[in-house]
Amino acid sequence: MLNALWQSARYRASSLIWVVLSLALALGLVMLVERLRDGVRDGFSQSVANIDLVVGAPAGDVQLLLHSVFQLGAPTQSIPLARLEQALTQPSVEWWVPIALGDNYRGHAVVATQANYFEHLTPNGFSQGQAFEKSGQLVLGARVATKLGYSLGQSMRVAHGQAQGLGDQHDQLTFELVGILKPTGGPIDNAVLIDIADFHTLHIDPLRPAPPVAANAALVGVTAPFALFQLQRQLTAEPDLTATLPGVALSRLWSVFGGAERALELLSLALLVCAGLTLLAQTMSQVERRTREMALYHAMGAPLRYSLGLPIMESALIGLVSWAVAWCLLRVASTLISEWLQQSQGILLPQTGVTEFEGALLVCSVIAPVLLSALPHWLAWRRSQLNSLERL
Amino acid sequence: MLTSLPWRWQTDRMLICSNLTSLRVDISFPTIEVTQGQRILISGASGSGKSTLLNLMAGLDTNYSGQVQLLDLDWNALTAAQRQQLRADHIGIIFQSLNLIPYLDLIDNVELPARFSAIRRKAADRSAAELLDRLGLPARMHRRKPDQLSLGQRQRVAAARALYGAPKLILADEPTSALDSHNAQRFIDLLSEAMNLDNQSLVMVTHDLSLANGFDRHIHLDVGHA
Repeated sequence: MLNALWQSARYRASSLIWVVLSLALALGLVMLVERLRDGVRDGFSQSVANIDLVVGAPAGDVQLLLHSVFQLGAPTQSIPLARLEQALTQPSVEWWVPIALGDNYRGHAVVATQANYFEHLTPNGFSQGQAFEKSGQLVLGARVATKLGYSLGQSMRVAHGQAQGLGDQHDQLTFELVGILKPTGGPIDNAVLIDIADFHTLHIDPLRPAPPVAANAALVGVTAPFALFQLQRQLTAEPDLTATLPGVALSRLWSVFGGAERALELLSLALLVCAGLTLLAQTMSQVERRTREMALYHAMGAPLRYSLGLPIMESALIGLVSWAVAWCLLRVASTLISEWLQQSQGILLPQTGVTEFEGALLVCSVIAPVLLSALPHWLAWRRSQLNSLERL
Repeated sequence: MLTSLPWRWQTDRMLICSNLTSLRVDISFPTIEVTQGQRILISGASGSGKSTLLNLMAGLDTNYSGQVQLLDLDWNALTAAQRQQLRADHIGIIFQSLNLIPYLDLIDNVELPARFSAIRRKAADRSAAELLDRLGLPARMHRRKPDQLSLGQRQRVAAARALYGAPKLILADEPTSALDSHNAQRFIDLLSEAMNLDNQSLVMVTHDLSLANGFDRHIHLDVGHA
């Protein structure tokens, strides 16, 4: 039977190649879209993965999350570091890092924090160098470093101010680049990280008395999950503070992007429907020929499982091969575009083996053709049973 | 799935049709008995039920009253799967039009029946190549595809396929209708020679009475035979 399958496929190779190719393109695109979605989603959720609580001045929780983690939008009111320290010095807090924002280096957000930020919030670690240890050192996110073409030891003049080019009107500090982070697919890839003390120095107006060191938010890790809600309630109860669960805020944020995501999902679905129709068209075009073949097999005494099994297995095989070709195309495509995608879009394309989704797609690629070809061929087989000799 | 069939083919009565009426087209047929090695020619005008009779004999149509027994087994007494197995084991059919599988070469086409019957696999003393040789298709053609052959050559491949594995009974449905008279006679001669080797029985339906030479019996079906 396998031999017959092979011979039959070879005989029709010139048309089968196009069927397989069009199916493979559709399946490959669906896989690619899914991996892109995974990459975007992973980038987002990775960036809050280790953060249990975001603490800041009273504001909407999406706003707090957007600026403290994603460096988007205007920062909320700042809070003296001492106040945060007082509020967060309690047994249920395992660690916390302050975040101060507002500055900008050639269009990249400057994130002021403390060295323990790198312990808790950069799981991928450094590709070069290490965390800043003293004043005048800074760390770059992966994309910034590539974009600026900087390597370790590079000296950078960071100025106070948001807008590009206006920096030199304000106070400046010269920093030495001591570390470059590995890509994460998250917003940190775009950030310039400095010590919060240096950030403070940048902002001191020499003509006025120095204000206390302040931060816009604190990212907090707790000792035990059950302590989380109590801590959140307790902090939010303070009049000058608010605390938000980043997972909750993120899912709220995600629902904003949900529309675009669903559009992609629909697009994938449409592609799959197209693939199904291609398969159906190919099946229907074969049924007439198959009917004669089945009538012949029937007259020769072939059992049903043979007459019917041949075309069904052929369809299943087309699905299987198409999936395999699609997966190879996907691997080639994702190798080709992953560099560009990371540089220009900040999306890390997962370079994994067969994902769960692709496995499910494989099962569908085999089962759907079986179902699509079973019915027309079964009907053809029933027709072929009647008066075999007169049809032949 | 090997369908178990009663082990009764020690008989030399290959095929018996008696009191046979097709319920589908309402035609009755004369009693026909085919013993081992016998060759029977059935002729008749169109509409006389030649093809219907062949369908009934092959167990492809079981909508009848009376008896159609192959090796003393009545088709109607068997299940669909048993009929398939009995036909695969003991009947070779040569079809009216050419029904070779286009993507299989000649050897694979000839060996096709053995896929469905262990009996014919075992009984295939003569290889497909030898059968093709005897039917006038030399070895250099054996790996060709059917569409590279002439009509007459293809019909001889079909004959080799029916003979492969030495089935007891060969049914032929107007096998020469696509051939000119010279090729038709040559086809019948080659078929007869090849059949002598295994003493097979033949029932051939045709409208061409010039082929009647060499048949043991000639049955003419009248239109509306009672």
